Amino acid sequence: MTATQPGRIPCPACSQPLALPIEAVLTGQAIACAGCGLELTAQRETSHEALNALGRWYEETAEARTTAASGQASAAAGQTAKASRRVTRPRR
Amino acid sequence: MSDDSSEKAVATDIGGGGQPPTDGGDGGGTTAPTPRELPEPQSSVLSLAQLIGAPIHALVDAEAQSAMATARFIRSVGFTGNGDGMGDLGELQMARFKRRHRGADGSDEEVEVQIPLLSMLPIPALQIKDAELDYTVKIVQTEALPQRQAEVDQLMAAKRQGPTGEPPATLRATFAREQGSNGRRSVDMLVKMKLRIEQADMPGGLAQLLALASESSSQDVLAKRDEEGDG
Ligand SMILES: [Zn+2]
Repeated sequence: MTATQPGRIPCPACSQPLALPIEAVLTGQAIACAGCGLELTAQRETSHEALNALGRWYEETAEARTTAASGQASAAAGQTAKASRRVTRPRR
Repeated sequence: MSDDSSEKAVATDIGGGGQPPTDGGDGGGTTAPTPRELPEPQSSVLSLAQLIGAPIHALVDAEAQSAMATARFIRSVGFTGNGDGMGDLGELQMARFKRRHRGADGSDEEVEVQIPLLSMLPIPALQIKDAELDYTVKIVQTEALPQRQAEVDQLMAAKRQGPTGEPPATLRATFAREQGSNGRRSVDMLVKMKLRIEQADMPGGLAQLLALASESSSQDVLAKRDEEGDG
């Protein structure tokens, strides 16, 4: 396997990039590969330490993620507002 | 050069965020000190090199701190060893996943996939993209450096060129006030700093680490079951 972007691993079956959403890993949800349909499920029993470390990271970065998300949202809203102003400007 | 003694009071701000001068004036009422009257190296008057160098040093320090934070993150999240300090890294922290796999003989295999945590997370690595430093300084003293002059003379002699006319000098300066638009004093200006910070490109070493981490992903067959039609 070769390194891909962070948060993505090469699918163990078809080697296509497979996104591993941290929430799904932490909650034990099955993560499906769009390429081959393979399903990966985190094993809580045997991955205690790793999932704890992941959970700590997730908690500690929650605020940063929220801030980043709201920043992106407000930037997007600003764009939309500008666009709508442009659209709704009355014509003479 | 040294025509304004009030600058000394301004310069105390550099040393420790001191009070602005209480005379409130522009130094017009004070007598101009001669260079001799200026105390020798004092905390408020620094060499120009120190003055310009300090913020640059701070930027380098900030980059180093950012790199250390990245290293700490990798240690604490990516490895099983104690995340604090610089002790043993331990092993790569691996998360274990289960996947179903149908074998060639039609039987269902349960396969364990081990994936290093490091390859699952975005690794924070910030760097200063650009920095804009805007200094407002006032040169209050120049000081000839005979020793440096001797070095320069020696160098120039070696190159069979004549000695330079002017001896090299150390400039002593303070951060000066910025004048308001009406010519009156506005706020004290020390140094204006504008930074742009971005996620750094993956450093070579980190890319190599991630590649190694990815290579350590592994799969093991856990159990083999006969076809039950539940795959
Ligand atoms: Zn796949």
